[in-house]
Amino acid sequence: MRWRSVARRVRAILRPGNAERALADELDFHLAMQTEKHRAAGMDAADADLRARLEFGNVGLVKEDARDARGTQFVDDTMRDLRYAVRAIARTPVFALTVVGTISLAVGLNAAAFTVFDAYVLRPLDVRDPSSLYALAWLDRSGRVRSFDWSDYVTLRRASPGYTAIAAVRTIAVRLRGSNAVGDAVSSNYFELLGVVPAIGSTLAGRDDQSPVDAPDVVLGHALWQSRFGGDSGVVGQHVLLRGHPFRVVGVARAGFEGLYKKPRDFWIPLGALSLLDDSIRSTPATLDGLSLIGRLAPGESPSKAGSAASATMRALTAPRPAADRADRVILTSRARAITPSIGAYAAFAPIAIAFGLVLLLACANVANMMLARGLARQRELGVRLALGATRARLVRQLVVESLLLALPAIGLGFAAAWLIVTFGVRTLFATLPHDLVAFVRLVPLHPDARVLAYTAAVALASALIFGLAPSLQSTRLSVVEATRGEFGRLGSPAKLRTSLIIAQVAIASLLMTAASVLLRQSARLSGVETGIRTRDVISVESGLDRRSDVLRRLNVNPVVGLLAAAATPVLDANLPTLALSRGGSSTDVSVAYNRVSSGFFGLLGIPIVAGRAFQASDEVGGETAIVSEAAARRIWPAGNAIGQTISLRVRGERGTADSLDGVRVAHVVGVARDVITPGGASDASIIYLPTSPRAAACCLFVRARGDVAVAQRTIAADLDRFVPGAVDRLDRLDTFVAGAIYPYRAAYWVALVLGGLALALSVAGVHGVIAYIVAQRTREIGVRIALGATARDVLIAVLSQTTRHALIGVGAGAVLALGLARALASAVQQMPGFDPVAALAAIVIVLAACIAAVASPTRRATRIDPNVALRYE
Amino acid sequence: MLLTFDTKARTLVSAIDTKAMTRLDLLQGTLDLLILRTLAGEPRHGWAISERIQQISQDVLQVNQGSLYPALHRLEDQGWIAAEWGVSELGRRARFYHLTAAGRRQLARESDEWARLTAAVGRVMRLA
Repeated sequence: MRWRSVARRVRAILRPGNAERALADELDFHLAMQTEKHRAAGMDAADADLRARLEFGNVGLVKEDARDARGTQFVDDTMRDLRYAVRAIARTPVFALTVVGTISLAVGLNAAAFTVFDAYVLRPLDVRDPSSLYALAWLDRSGRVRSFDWSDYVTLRRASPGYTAIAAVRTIAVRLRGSNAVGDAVSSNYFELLGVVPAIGSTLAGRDDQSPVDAPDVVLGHALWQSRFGGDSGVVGQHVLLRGHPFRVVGVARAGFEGLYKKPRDFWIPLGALSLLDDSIRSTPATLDGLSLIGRLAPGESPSKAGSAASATMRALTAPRPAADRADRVILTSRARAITPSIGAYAAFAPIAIAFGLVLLLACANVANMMLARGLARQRELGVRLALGATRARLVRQLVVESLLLALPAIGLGFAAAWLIVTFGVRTLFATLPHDLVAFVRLVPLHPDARVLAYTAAVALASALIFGLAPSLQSTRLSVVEATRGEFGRLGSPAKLRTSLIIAQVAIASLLMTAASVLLRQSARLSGVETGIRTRDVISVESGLDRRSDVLRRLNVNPVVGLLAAAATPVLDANLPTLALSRGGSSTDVSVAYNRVSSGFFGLLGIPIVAGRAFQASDEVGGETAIVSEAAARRIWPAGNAIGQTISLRVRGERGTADSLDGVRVAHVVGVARDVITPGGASDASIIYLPTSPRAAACCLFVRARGDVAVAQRTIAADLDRFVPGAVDRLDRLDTFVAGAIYPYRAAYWVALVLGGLALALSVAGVHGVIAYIVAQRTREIGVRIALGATARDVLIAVLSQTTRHALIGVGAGAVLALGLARALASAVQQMPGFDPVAALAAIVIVLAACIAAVASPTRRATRIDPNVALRYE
Repeated sequence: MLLTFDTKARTLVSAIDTKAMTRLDLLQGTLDLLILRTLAGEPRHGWAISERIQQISQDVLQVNQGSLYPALHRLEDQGWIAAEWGVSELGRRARFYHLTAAGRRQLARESDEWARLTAAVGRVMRLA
């Protein structure tokens, strides 16, 4: 086709009126000329006109042929299809609404899930050129991931030509204005490297890393500025207290920038200021370690090349260190997104994606079923059109247009539904979170945007086309003769398709219901589980060493404080570190979790000492004593008494940790404590307790509150903020951690329940629709049977047995799928049971009952068919 | 090709000699050839083309308008003729068609074909 004719066709499509008018003008001119000719030959005007028109023939026909010749017919046909489709849809508005509603809801749900996935995994960070950002980490020779110290950072920054810049980050958690906040201590080039500008004030740019100053700078996060400073622009120049030290607010980061990590950051301070806040860092930054490095690759640089250059630098740098601390290689991970896309990240989202996708599939199956039923109902119409000469392609095109017409509103509605679901989900999340957890939960902004819209459109179009068209194609596959005679009975395949759709629906519904009931039982089991720790009236207080004595003094005089104890690792919240332990006389090491606790620990947390004694005040300073949990005692001395045994301990702390257990130590076991649940649900409850003092470094205090624990928490917080401002980093109720451990299961249960309920409702609707349709189709046959003597009971059994067979197959398939999925989940998620037969059985019963309920009314109708009426039918 | 029949009966060119009441069915493509040839001299509008064919053929060939305009649009679509709006001899706005370069080549090709066909038919008539 020449470009000129292409251009003309485009013109004709864009402005069909123009071409149409031109054609009319042309033909008018011809008629006028012909009339003129006849008049010139002597006819009167009316005769001449009539003669010219007669000679010309049918103007409309000529126009149509001319249009055909021009190749613009396609547009005309499409417009006609569109008009026809609108009429067809308007004729069955309930059907159209049901299809659009079903697709919208399912697509909306999926788009909502995609919004979350997109925000965390797909959407790049809101910084300049995120794709060239890489996080550096080095591995030692045993393959452990290690962090950088100050000298590593300085050397890498100087000696790495592959990077435009490298910034260093160390995360710190403090209390800011009375609640918990997470921030990053960053090198001076951090904001410049990321290209992040301040919303107001300035960033930390150009401020020296090296020198700690009296009132260091702090940049506030936009969300924190909004929530705790009311978005007041006067905040610049004010001072905020971090761990009791005044920090001058120099600016607020622009909205949308919340750091480089999954959990949004609330503030940024210079690295040099860390020594003010952290006991383990001496006054010079040179002793800084635990740094994460972020590099921006120079243009054209490949990550592997830059990585091997950095590896060489780190190997040279760590060569003088002890063998265990020498670098093997440096790895680079893209920091373009909040969660680095990896198999793990996708796997974490997979169950959610599968669950949401299954609901979509279910909705599509319903749509397909409806389309099938409608296709069959329209067979006479299609047959007539075939008989009138329409080609099959023409009919299929008509059906495609109808499907597309149904998909378009579903896109808009689905997008709106996604927005609503996300908003509602976030609201519900914060409304149902245990109160104290709200402060810990921060979400990246979740706004359905153009990407989500594109996703919605693609999914809606795909589902409308695939599931709307496949059944339609089947209904166009009929012969003219049969169709006009009204014989559709011999079409076997729609029935087969319908049956498999029903079975699939029931299978999916029972799979999702099984998931919901497993999660319900799981969260119920967890909330009933004994932690072995008295949590209900215990408050943990974390504070730095330098002001610990002040904190202890205030706590001791506070009337709401009953008992006081300390532990190196907060119970329930953090994973315990492990040490290598060998029995006296044995040379083999076993790895056991340990904690260092003060003398009041066991009493305060209500952990009974089942043998021997608890720690005493005399153990707290340099006591070579240990208490083991029952599980540890069983494990280390399987056949013998733990009390009085000697153990040697070797702590595998990382270089520079403040723990004084460095090196080898010997301890005597003085007591055995009852097992407690360990954080993260580790199956082994073995713990070695070693003594420490509330005044030791890196220690968490525990307070047993008198009276109401919430009141006590507020009282303690107010008292400490008043007398030792900034000294406390965290102040938490222990029962919050228990609630926090259960909450994910509870949330997952609700999501699964909503999805499962929706799936069940869709399946019930689908099964009901299909059975009702089959009964209507077989009315004549059933009427004949009844006339020949079949009882209502026979009919009942005939209809029910068919449904039950399909439902049973579906439920069986669902159970098998659930079993497989549970296996996969149990290996991926802690504390998930491999298979929960009670939960599965409950789900199966519910689904079967729902199926029976769904067919109740069509079945009743079948038994009441009056043979007289049925045989006169049609 | 000149000797292909279009399955769509309506596009078959039919020329009706109203005086003799005899009906000459022309082969598909013949009208195209006549139009191209008519336009070889000068640009004409649709009516003038039909008049010209009728006049030159001494009223033996009368072009059915129902075939003329679809044929013109088809030829234009194929790029052999092009049209532009102009003013007719009577001062009315009319659509004037003219041959394109491709149209000239096509005319040459079809004239050859036509000559061969008529020669062949003539030989059969004389010698068979």
